[in-house]
Parts: sequence; structure tokens; C-alpha cells
Amino acid sequence: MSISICNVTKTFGKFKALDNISLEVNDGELFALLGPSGSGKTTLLRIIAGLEIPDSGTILFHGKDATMRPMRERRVGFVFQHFALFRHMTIFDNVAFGLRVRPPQLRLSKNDIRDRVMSLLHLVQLESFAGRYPSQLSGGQRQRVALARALAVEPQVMLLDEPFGSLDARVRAELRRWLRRLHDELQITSVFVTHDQEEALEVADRVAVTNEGRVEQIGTPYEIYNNPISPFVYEFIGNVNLFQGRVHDGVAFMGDVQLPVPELAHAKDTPATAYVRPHDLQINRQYQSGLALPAKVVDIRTIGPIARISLMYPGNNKTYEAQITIDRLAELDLRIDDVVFVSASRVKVFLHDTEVQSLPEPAAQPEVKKKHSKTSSDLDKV
Amino acid sequence: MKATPVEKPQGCLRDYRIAPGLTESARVRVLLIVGALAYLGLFLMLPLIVVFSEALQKGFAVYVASITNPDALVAIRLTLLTALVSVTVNLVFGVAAAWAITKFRFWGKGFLITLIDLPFAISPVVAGLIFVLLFGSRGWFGPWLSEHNIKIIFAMPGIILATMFITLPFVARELIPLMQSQGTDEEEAALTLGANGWQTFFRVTLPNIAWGLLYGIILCNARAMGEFGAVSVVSGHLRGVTTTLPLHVEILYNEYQFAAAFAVASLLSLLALLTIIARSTLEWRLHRQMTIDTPGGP
Repeated sequence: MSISICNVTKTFGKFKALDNISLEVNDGELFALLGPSGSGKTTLLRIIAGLEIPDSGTILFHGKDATMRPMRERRVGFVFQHFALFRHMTIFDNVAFGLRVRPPQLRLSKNDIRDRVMSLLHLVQLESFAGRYPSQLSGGQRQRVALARALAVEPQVMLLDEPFGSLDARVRAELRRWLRRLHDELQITSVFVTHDQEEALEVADRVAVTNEGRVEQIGTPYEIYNNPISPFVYEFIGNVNLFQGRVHDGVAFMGDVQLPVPELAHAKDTPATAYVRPHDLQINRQYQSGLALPAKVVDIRTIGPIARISLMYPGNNKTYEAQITIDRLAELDLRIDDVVFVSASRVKVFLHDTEVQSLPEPAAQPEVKKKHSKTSSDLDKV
Repeated sequence: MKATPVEKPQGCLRDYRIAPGLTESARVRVLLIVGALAYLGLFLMLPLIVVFSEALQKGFAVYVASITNPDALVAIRLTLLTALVSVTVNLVFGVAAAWAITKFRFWGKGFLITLIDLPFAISPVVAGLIFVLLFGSRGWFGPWLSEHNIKIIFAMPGIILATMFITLPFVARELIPLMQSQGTDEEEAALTLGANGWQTFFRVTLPNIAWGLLYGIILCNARAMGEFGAVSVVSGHLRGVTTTLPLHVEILYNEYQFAAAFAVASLLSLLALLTIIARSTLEWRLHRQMTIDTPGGP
């Protein structure tokens, strides 16, 4: 079932939780609402569930207005952040709850309920835990019970509020893949809320990035990561280096570097920021060709297969970060205080105003003018 | 019998010891314990023993006669009835108030919580007087009540009203922190699973607060049966008509019928003892439930 959210606004007192939000979740899709805390994502999820009523705007389920439809008629499965299992009931009774509270004429027989609950517990691999209480299970197991309980009522939409938020890192990664497989198996339209960009990018078909009650960008994980349309999305998704400068007549001046930005030709001496991902920076010992900047290695940290290199631009104290593979690090044999040449394969420049300009993706060839190249010898071995 | 000395390997396997400075010396500990026990004995155990020994001083026959005396029986019945009504009413009120305060956001919530505490702050005598001023013959509603031949003051309704006022906070006060700590997550989960309001209350909320509720009821009941001040003001001390057990004890005592007074008092003390036993049993169960609910907790 598809979900349409049209111009939804919600305020709590003076706090504007949602500011005229519109988005569309397609049938059978696994959709992520990604944003920092306080960005309104949980409020939106609760509005879809019927736990909150929007101040204005409408929610459509499969094209039909469901804004004021009572929760019981929405057929929505909701998984709460802290699972909200009924602590005084066994796992079996928890999962059976939704089936037992149905009006008598719609209620299944005792045996049918039993079969249904057991098959759901089988689905979440917890059959042997039917007689236990929630407090006797681990976090990951409780999460799966919460899912089974929500699935018991045959929801047409699954809503998950920070589904992995209160689990430790390993269980989280495991459950993430499990949830994705489960979704592919059941094909229920699902929306989940998260503040963890990695989680959203890994699991979801499409992602909406929210900020201060508004949607910043909607797109596939690939689009969101590789083509962020606003500085906020750039900074929120993944690490990024920021370089301050100005844009004038289609050229960005970032310190000693000049980049052509034909899309920003209209800008006249406007302050701007260039965004470069750490893994879009290449490090070379020698000046190769094209445009590269000299930099001093300040710090080297290895995290598993990758290495994070802190670099300092000669002449000022600002450091930025490059990310290379361990193999490349060994090849370069980098040491702290070495002077190297850094070039960027992808740069994006945003002007400092509300107007957002972006470079077409393949054209993002940085032209790093190397004023310093000839002086590299005096920078050698500081 | 000869004690076998425990063999200790040298150098290792020391006794478990507490670091010096973390505990008092043996002498101080003994002194503190003896002091505490003496205090408890003097102010709690001794009076209790006196009550029962005085009650049985003139023999068991007198004891039985004093508590089966028609006036005493009226007092027992009145006390039980008063407790029953006020506990029931305050149970419903307490659950409703705690539910409203903990599950909803509304204007004036803080004021409502303060208001619930009012009976704790007001002297029982003042509480009794309030009802006399409201319903007494010269009170606000007095003329109207006497016109319609309704008697509240110096009658059973007054006694029940005063007791209800005094015991109002107990159930609500017990439930509010409990329900606050439990939050609304489980109720919301029940609603998303298709339960209606009543199903949510009876299947989810009530089982979660059951022990806390019982605890509140027991405290409320103890106070309802023992209340003296407020009841004394509104009852009018009509012997065999409007005397509850505490008032009956006072009357007997003032008439120098010590054995009978203590016999009735012993009955009240017994009820109190039962309450305390029930309370500690519940406290223990409640504690156990809490520790099961929070794995990794104490």
C-alpha cells in the first residue's frame, strides 16, 4: 500500500516539529526517514500510525484520505524504539495480543491464534522462547518479538521507530540485514526512522533526509550519498571537508585554489563553501600532473581496512582529512610531518545563501591550481 | 561440642574484609544496634504488649464480652463500612487521577497534583470542621439538607465523607510515580495492535500497576479504619450509633472501663498488624517485580 503525505504540519506548543512536509512512499518499498534528533522524523512516523493528528495537511493510504482514520482501522504495525513489549505477558501472549483484542465476530479460534503465533515466532526464530517473559530476552530478541507482534495483525504498513537504536553494534548490523531479507520476503510497505546514516543507506530503498521539520532531500541511497543537494545533507551524510572561499563570475576562489564553477556564473563575489569527501582526496608523494596541493601529514589513524590521514595546508592551521586504503598507506609509506601532494576527484561548491547550486556529477573535476608546486622543495621536511 | 578450627592456607585465601574506614569498630556497631533496638522496644513493642496485656487483664471472658457488646459491634460494623466505602471511592478516583496525570498532557496538571496532596497537609480536625461548616445545621447546605430531611453531620454519611477526604491521596500518590516510570509506550503499542480503550486499560495498564494499586489500597484502608480526628468532629459521639472503633475506645477509656477500652484497642491493633504484614509482603513482591523488569538493575 502506498502512503502519501501532503503538506503536513505539526507543532507542539511553540516547537514546529513538522513544517509543511510532503512525500510519497511507494507500494512495497522500504523507506527511511533519516535526520538528526529533533528533526521531526518520529513525529511524522507517529502521524502515519495515527498516534498523533497533524495540525494541517493530509495522509493518504493508497490514495484515500486516512488523516482522521482511527488507529484500529489503519492496519499499521508499529515497532517502538524501546520495543514496548507487554512486560507482564509471555512472548506468546505478546504476539497473540493483537489477535485476541479483535471484536468477537472477527476473532480467530484459539487454535488458529496458536498456529499463527507459532508461525510468526518461527519467522523471527524465537519458537523456543514462547513461554518466556520479555525481561528474560536479550535486546535483539526483544526487537524480533516486537516485529512478530506487529506482524501478527497483518498490517498493510510497517512503521519502525529507530528499530536498532537501543542495540549494540554487532547485533545491530546483523538485524539490519535480517530486516532487509524479511522485507524482501514479505513485501510490506515499510517506513523506518533512524538518525544513523549508515543504517539508512544500507537498508532502505529510498531515503528522506529531514532537518528542522522539513525534508531536505529524497532519493535512493546512491543519490543521497553521491549527489547531496544541500550543504546540510552533505554534512549529515558521511564525513566531509569544508573549504571556505568566494565565487566570482563562475570561478571559486578557495585560498590559493581556483575552481571553475560554470553553474555559479551568476554569482558576483559571493561567499561560498566547497565540500570534499575524505575518500575523494588522493595523496601522492610526488607532484604528478594536473592540479595538486602540497600538504603536511599531521596524524595517521588506521581503522580496519582504511586509514584516515589528517592533513594541514601549509600556511594555516586548519586540518582536513583524507581517507585511503591500508594498502595505499603502505605503498606511500607515510609518516607524520611528511609533505605530500593532495588532489581531489570530486568537489561541490555551495553559495552561502538559501539558493542551492550543484555541479553536474561527472563534471566535478576539480581544477586545483598549484601555486605552491614550485615551492614544494622548501616545504620538504619541515 | 568442640569446634573444629578452620584451616587457612598461609598467605592466600584471606577472609573477606572491608577496608578500614568503611565501617565502624565492633564496639560502635554493638552500641548502635542496641540503641536502636532499645528505642524500638520502648516506643513500639512495649505499647503493643501493654495493649494486649491490659486487654486480657480481667480474663478472657471480659475480653470477649467487651468486643461483643452491642455498642462495640455497631462500632465494628461502622468502621468496616466506612473503610469499604472510602477505599472503593478513592480507588476509582485514584486510578482515574493517576491515569489522567501520567498519560495525558493538559493545563493545570501541576495544580491537580498539589491538590491531591492537600488532605496530607491539613490537620484532620480542620478537615472535620470543613464538613461541619458545609453540611452542619448552620452550614452552607444545612438549611437545604434539613428541609429535605437529609442528615450528614452527626450521622454515618458525615463519617464516610470525612474519612474519604482524609484518605484521598493514598491510592493516587502510590500510582503516579509508578505509572510515570512506566510511560505510555505499552498503551500505545496496544492501541496500534487494535485494542480499544477498555481493553488497553484492563489488559495492559491494570496488570502493570496491580501491585502498586494493592499497596495503595492497604495504606488507604489502614488510615480509613484508624482515623480519629476528622471523624471525631463530625460524628457527634452518639454511642452505639455514630461511634467508630477509635471513638469507641476513647469513650470507654473516658468512662474508666480500661479493660474494655484496651480490648477494643487490641482489635484495632490486630487490624493494624495485619495491614503491616500484608504491606511488607507486597513490598517484597513489588521489589521482586521491579528487579525482574529491569535486567541489569539491582
